[in-house]
Amino acid sequence: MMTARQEAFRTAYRAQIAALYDGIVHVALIFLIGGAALWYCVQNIHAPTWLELLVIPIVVIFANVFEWFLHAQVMHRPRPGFMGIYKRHTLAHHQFFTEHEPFHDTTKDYRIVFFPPYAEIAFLVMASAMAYGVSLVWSTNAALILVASAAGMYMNYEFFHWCCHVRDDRIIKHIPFVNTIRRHHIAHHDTAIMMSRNMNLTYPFADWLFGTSDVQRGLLGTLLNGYETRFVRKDLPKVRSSADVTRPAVPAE
Amino acid sequence: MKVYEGERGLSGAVVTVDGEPLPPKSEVKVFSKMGFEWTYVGPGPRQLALALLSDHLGDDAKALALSEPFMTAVVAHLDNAWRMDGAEIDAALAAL
Repeated sequence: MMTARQEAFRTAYRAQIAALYDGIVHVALIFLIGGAALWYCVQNIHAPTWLELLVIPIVVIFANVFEWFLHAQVMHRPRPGFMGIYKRHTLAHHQFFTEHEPFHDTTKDYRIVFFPPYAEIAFLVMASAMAYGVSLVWSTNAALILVASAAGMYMNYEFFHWCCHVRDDRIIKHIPFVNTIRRHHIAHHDTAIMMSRNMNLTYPFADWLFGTSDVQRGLLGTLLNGYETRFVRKDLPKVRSSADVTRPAVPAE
Repeated sequence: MKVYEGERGLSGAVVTVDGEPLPPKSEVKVFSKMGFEWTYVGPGPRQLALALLSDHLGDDAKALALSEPFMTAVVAHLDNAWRMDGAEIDAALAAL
């Protein structure tokens, strides 16, 4: 159920979206850029060795930890030089979407679901810089596999995040990993834990590794938890002194 | 009795006392140059704890001494939008 405060925020946020903004074009740009990078790299990889193919799981794990770190330490903390990311995420995305009403209504709302395309370009430039180093000390194949994997992980992130905020879950709830991250991320939108828990957006590997998941399970159980709530920790904090009138606030001590 | 309110929104993480901006009390101690924050343990919440207690108690030294436990017990659990009056702060301090 949406609170009056959340409804007011949504109205104010939507009012400042540029009239020319088109959510479908936004999403198309993201997947066009990522798809083009992936396609270019794959086209230029020739007879990779098994060792070179090992770059794929390394990038997947590195991207997972990077996503966790960026979310926990930049998107949810005011840091000099990165205030734009914090404002867009903590002060906007988390006010627009709450654990009570985490779903978007129209494609105009994609403005606050997906990162702007320049974030993807920045990510690919960082990956390319690392890949250049890899090409110098190892091989062009390994470098291309690195960039292709990074592009794939970025699109994976955006797709999974959209799956968390789309209302209709008739299909999604049956897909392993996707159903896990959907429950995991909607729980993260609870203000009481949003600054400290469930920071992964793809696979909750780093949350398991660093003990920041809201579920207490082993690695496989955490990754394949789905919608299961039996393993949610009993010691999670609650908010207090809420001014959000419909929220059951903890009374002041 | 004074009323303290905080809200995260498009204009930032804003905290007021009786409708006016709450002074950060940087002259007492700078924990954060990035303004107030809450719902976690860190520099922004620490600055907010100091500012709230300093305004409420009118005693900067006492506010500074109590800011760390007050942050952990109260500020680290505040909602996106929150409201407290002086009586609630007194009750929270008594429970520390």
